[in-house]
Amino acid sequence: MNESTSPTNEPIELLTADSLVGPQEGVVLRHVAGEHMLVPSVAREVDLDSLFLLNATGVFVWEQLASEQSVADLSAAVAQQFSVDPDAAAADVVTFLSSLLERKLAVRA
Amino acid sequence: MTPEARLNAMRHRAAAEGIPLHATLALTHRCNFRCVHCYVLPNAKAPSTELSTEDWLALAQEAADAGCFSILLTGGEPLLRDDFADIYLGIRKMGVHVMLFSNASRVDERIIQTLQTAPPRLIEVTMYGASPETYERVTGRAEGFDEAWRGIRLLREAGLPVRLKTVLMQPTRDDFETLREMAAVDDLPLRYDAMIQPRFPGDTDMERLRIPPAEVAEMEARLIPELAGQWKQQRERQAKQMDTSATHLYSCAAGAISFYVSAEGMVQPCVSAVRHGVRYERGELLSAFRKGRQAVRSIPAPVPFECAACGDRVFCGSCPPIAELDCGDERGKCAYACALAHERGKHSEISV
Repeated sequence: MNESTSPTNEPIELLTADSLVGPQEGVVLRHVAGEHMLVPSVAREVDLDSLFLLNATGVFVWEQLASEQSVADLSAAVAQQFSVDPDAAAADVVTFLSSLLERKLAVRA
Repeated sequence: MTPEARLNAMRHRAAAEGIPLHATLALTHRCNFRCVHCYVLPNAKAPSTELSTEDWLALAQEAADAGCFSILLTGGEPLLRDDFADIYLGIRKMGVHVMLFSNASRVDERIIQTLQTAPPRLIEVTMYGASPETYERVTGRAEGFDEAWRGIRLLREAGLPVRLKTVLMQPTRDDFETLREMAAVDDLPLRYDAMIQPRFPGDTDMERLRIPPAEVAEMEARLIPELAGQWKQQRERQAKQMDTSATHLYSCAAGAISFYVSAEGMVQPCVSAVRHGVRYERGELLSAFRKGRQAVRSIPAPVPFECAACGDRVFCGSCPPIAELDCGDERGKCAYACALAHERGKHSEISV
């Protein structure tokens, strides 16, 4: 769902199906010349080395995160939207959300 | 595709489709310095003609909606705008990368708080010498030296990213080595430029400020010996990429993926391409950008196009607008830039 240009930060607590995740304040989804990317607009230096590019699935998950969502609900939404296996969707969602949390682009409730 | 490949593809797509990835906004042409070499202030209009806060934010929003990735805020001295915080934070909220050019003399706690709220990608501070005496000669403000360093210290203590640059010209040449040492002590990157461009077509007064090309190249070889090896590599890379069949005059990003807006709202391919400017109207930024893009893309290269086949082109600071300022013909050459490029080319051939 994403390709970051920088290595991850410190490891985070593992997500479970009930974990609630929401967007970090001030993070903006931008569409630039065919690419979607997340850009922190407050409290963070915008470093090109930490650009967070999204593919279509990542954009979908981010848009669901407009309000806090559980991992289970997000996984179900992805499985339905993209007609994929629920377990595969869950694994992808956890990986994606973990990346967002490591880069402080999302927060746990 | 790797992230780097996706970013490269993004740039190519922007060039092909006319997407304005990068913008330079000159928030004001006013300045608290009176630099002897300045090409902005002599052409400044009355402050009352500057775009308003709302105009700048509307323009930036249109740029962001069109796909703008980064915006450089400059001037004059942009921190002279009373509404700098409103403009800066408004643009950062759009999710656009922002860089800032400043002389740092107006950096205070309020500016620090503004920048810390939503840090920029980079703050580049121009230094006009290594002493109050040189500052007096160049800017007319001896106190500007201490003011600039105070501003730089405040920015660094606040954890903000700072880089320095300087202008290598006759009034500053004796300070160059000292300034490099001062920057090194504080672990600050320092870049420089020796290309003093004319302030208006036919401005021969700038010649007295320019250091003769051979002397610039000698200073570089003496003070920055590692440059020769870097230039050799750049020259070899350029030789592989050279396109001697180029039919278009403009080969840079100006008008292709980047644009400049003057304080009065003229949208231009770059700061020097005044003749291709289109006045900004609300809702029409993309149209103005694309008119400039079309204008520069339609200019044919001269035949033969000597610059396209020049082995020292990688060292050349000239471009069509600068050539027009220098010799009256945008398809001509800036003689100083040519000579400097060739002098650097000679040094690049010296084995390291």
